[in-house]
Amino acid sequence: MLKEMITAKDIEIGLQATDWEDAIRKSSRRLLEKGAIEQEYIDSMVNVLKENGPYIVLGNHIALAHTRPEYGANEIGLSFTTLNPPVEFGSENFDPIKLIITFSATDSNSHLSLISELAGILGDDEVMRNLFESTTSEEFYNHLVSALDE
Amino acid sequence: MSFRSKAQTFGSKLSNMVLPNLGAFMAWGILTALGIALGNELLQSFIGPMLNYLLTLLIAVAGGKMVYGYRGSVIAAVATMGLIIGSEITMFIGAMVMGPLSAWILKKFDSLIENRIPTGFELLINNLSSGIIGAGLAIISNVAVAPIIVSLTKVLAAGVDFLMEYSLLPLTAIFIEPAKILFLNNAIGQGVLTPLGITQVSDFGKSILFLLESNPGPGLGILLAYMFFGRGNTKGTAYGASVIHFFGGIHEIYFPFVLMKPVLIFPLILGGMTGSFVFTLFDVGLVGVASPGSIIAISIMASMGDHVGIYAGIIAACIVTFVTSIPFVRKTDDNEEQLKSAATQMEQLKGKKSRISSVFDSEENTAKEFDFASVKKIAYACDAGLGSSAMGASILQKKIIKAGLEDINVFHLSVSDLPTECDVVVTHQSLMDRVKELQPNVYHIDIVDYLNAPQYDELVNKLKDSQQESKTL
Repeated sequence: MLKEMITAKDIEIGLQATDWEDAIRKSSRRLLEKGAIEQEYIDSMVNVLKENGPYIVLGNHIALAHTRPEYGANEIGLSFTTLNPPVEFGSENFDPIKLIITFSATDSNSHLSLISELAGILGDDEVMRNLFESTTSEEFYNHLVSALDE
Repeated sequence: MSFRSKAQTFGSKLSNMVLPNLGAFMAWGILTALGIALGNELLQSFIGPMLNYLLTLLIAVAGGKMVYGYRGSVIAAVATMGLIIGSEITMFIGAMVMGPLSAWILKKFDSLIENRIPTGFELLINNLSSGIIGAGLAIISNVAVAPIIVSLTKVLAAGVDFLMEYSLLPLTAIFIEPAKILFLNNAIGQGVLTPLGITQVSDFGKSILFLLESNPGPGLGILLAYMFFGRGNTKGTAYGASVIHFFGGIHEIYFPFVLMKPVLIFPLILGGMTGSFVFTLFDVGLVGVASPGSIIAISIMASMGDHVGIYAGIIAACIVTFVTSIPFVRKTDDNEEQLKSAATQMEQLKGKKSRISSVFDSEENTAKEFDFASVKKIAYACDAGLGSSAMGASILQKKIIKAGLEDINVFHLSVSDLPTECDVVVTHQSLMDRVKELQPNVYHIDIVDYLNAPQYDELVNKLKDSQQESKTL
């Protein structure tokens, strides 16, 4: 399912951001343009992080930017953004963040298989190294797809 | 599971049916007290219906909800209605039986037909099943269960009557005081004494039974002994503890002082007996549950004109415990560690982390006797309840299935949807404070790494080991 959803257009390589807020806002542009989310969704992601701390940091250098569906999520959306240089998210253990996965869903269950597929590859250090080091969105996409096929 | 932890689980289930409804019990107590004292007919008209219907149904609802959520509480109330109509006495004990039981029956039925309902018919079938089973259970309750409960209540009440008639009530302290230290107080206090006490209130306008367990005198005696004759840290802690105990009504606070020096159980029993003796002597009672057992709650609930006798009983209990415990407390060497380890021991006795132990030790302790074998549902919480938590839950679930523990279910949700029905809550470190506030009584795991948290494997191993252990037992 993840494979069918993602194209190279959903991937941005080497985004420059001044801080985590800037990184989240910029990484969300693609979903906003597609209409998957409203501006409100982006503001909410930033506010939630300000309130709760960096709990969206999943593990080694990855952040899953998302918030509740009622804050302007129109459909399931997913986009990948690698950061160059990496950005501090205030996570004690996993800074700096090299990859932001911006994510939206309309309820808390419809996207589970997607998340589960994603979980399968994010824990794999080698795959992640390949993804972090990709220099074009095509390269990133190919690494992602081949990891999913495994 | 040891007998003690079984008894505790049972006790906490009983008290969980009463505790959420204490507000209603107190309201009833106030209306009853005023109604009788003022001779006001309007107020008196509340007494019977509120007792027999409202309070009984509230107990059933809480019991049903415990087993099967709101759906359980509905059928619990319906089935209990059969009990209420089928008997002349107040059906608290019956509601405590039929409430959870009927919810359990519905739950079993639902899981039997779960996969056989044609799409689109769920709502219809769910309503029909709950309605038909509910009506059936109400009739069975009325015809078959009510008489059994009536005779059971009569036996218990006869036992209490016997004790009261021969002035033997003080002897109950022999059971009540040690049971409190072992955290079995709720099983006795809410499970037995409250229903019987309420029955007495509706007959005589007050009951001494409410005073037996809630009397803060003996505990205060212990704490005073430490305040005057303890040394160092114990002395300082006892001072604050006595305020929390006596005015806050949180008796757990003195338990570590007793566990540190178990022989103190005898002064406690003596004090409890003295208190109950004085209460009997003055023929005093409360008009409703005094919970927590604070001097303030007791004063409010005291029957008109009984205040002096009640205070006398509490003071007498306190003095007797105080004086008899002095020799033991004096002998105790000051040892900060001892008090801390007693507080830890207390947690183990209780089987979960006690809100009180933080008074003695600010370090975080995880519950040591958490029963991993009984874990069925693990909640994974994050703020939104769809991204990080879904990710973590998916990974944890895979690991659990891999370990061969198919019947354990991991689900994700938003922190704001807590509390929920589960045994363990996993969440990100930065959200743990909120989780603990919303659902303190489960096993908590905080992680920082959703993907590769070492806590996952730790948990899976614990689950596996405990299941194997319980199988070989």
